[in-house]
Amino acid sequence: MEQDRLAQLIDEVREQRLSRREALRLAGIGAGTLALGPLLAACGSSKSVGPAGSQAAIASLAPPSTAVSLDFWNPWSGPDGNFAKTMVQQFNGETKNVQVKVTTFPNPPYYEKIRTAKQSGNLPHIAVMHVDAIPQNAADGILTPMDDLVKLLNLSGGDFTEEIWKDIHYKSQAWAIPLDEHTESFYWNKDLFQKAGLDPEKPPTDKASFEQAAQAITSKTGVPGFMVVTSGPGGVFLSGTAWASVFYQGGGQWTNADYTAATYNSQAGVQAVEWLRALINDLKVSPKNVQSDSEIAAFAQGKNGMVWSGIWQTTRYQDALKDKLGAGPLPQIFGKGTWSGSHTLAVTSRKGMSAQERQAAYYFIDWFSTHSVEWAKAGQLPARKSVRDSAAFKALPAQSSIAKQIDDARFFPAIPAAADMLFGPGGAGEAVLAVINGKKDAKAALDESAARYLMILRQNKQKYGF
Amino acid sequence: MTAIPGAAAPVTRGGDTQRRRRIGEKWYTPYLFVLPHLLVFIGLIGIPFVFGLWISLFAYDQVSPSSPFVGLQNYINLIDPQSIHFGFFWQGLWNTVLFVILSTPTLVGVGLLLAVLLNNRFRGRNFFRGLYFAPWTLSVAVIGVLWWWILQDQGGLISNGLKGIGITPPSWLSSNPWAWISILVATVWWTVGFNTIILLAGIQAISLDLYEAASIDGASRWQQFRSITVPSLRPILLLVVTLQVIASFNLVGQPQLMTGGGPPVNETTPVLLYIYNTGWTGRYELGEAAAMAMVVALIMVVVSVINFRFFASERA
Repeated sequence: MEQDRLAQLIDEVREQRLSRREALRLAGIGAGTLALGPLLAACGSSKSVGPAGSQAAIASLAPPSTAVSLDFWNPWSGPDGNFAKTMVQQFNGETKNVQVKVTTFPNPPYYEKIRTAKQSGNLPHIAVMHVDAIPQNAADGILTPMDDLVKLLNLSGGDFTEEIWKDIHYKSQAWAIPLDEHTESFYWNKDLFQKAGLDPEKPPTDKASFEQAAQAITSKTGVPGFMVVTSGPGGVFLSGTAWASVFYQGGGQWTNADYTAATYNSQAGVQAVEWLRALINDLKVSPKNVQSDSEIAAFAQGKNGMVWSGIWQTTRYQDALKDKLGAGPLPQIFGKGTWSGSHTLAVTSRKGMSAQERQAAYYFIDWFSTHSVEWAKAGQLPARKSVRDSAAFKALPAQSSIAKQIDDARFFPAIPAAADMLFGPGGAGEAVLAVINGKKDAKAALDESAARYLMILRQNKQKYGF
Repeated sequence: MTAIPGAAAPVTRGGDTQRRRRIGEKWYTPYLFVLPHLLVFIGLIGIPFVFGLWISLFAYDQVSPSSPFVGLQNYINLIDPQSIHFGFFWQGLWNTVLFVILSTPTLVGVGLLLAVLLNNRFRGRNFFRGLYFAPWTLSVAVIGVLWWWILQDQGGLISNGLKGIGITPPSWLSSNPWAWISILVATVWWTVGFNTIILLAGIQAISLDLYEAASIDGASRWQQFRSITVPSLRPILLLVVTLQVIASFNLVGQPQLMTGGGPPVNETTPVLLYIYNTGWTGRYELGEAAAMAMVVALIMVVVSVINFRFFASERA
């Protein structure tokens, strides 16, 4: 759905999790197998109608007076899962009345598991939701509104960022509490900067200085100054998020205000993809054929001067480059803005959840959010401002430097399947790859993509009534 | 060729009266023998297939409160050029069919060649038999990433090696036909051992007397291969070709991990991946995905029937 697909894949290979059987499961979508999942899940379940929202409001934020155990599902199957487990252990140690049990699924099939669990009545109490998954899961009755917690703690956009706060709302209700924001971030190799006659402590901040640095590294060190991903399994994601960042910087909007038109074929979209193409064709700082992940591997090996990656790559780069690593906000090519994902914590519509359990879930979610400096170490920006302002967070050099761009982080509109505009079949990500490979004209490719998404938008608008 | 040894003569109707009933045998005895597999078949294939057919008639969504009946609309969408799925579904189907056409002769041919070679007597024969089969035990994730590292442009083993001696290689994974060739080579390396082992077992079942008689009559190795080995292997070849067609239709992991569907988009995306993405990501359109799966299943049935006819007529 979002983020770490590639990291996921690597982890799966490393741990041999994507076994042959797993592959067969994927492969066996031929008639029979496809139907099996829903059928098995259908056994003994009845569909609840519409989003829930009738649970009693919680009056105070404290652990419940009687012992409660909670199920907590997350998609953190990489190294980040260990940071989460450490935090849960600490919570369980501190809070005798609330014991949280963690279950981790790789993503995919994390959201499949959640849907199947909804159907069979086995939802956990608490689930991690990528922010762009909230509207779909809210509309499908998998989540329950958390307005009572928001009211109780008097939370507002100022406690997080205004942008993420907008995005946890769907149809004027709050459905989750943001845990982190993982922004597209900027990394540079200080060693290569020096060799190219650049000041390693003064990273480029705008279009001119970025292009100049890229050219200097390319011409003086023999390694590319920057690599634009042109194809491969993560191509849509990596070039898509790079493009989206520049698109946001140029003032790009995905849709109009009432969601009746897809507008990412605007001038902001066109100039963003043309700039990426120019890095390859005109400025010649990037080689022509760059498979996804090879830019990450090359940067970690010191064979790529600068890279734009999701912030979750921080620990990998630190391990590889040590003090040669520079990290910070994305250069502002056309203005402010960067692509970002976000993990949020939500309470599900689990059958028969008691008020005590709900209270415990709220307590845990708030605790997890306010203790997220540990989570930041996994390569994340805490969504909560108070955590970002803490001394403990400021002691993390890369993360705190990247955090300067937190208010520039932009998200998809809060409607179901919005991420498909960038990552889905026929989305902007595919259009970007077609353009930078010289297969299509920039405007024509984005027009075609937006026209297709408009059909999806119309169908969804009718189905969900947003 | 005479009848294949071991193949049972078909029981004719009316033969029942002449057949001796064994003590304790009831009319239902044969059904009891079939029952265990029948239950598994109905549970794991029969019911899901019918259910898949059923949900393909609905805008089916497992968690949405309503899944309205849409009749054949999901199928009509697949032949309506204006629909969201039209281009992607048929492009994916063509990609998969292309892979079936490319890979079936290759994997059966190379498998047969290896089987014949491994049937010879030579030092280390068992080692090589094991060696060719070994990659088959790996998962698709491992072989996908392995071949990605061999073939990718920026620092990949082959590209780097060629650049080192002054040759500019093509982009193995993001230009065609190289992307398909790369996927094919990786697949051969990964799975040919399976076909080899089955064909080798078939070759070993052929009586050596036939070869001895042929060589006394002055037949060359090639003539022996054409007139003894291949005809004797026909039932095994039918099995291997059928399994190979189905396995090739089920292509997913190799393009997913090696090319991501590129160069740069939708040129190697297999139809099953598009079906999966339709049903389980984005808008979770399970009904539409089921309709697509039905169309693919129908094509596989037709191909299998043709395949059986082809081998059956050759035998007659």
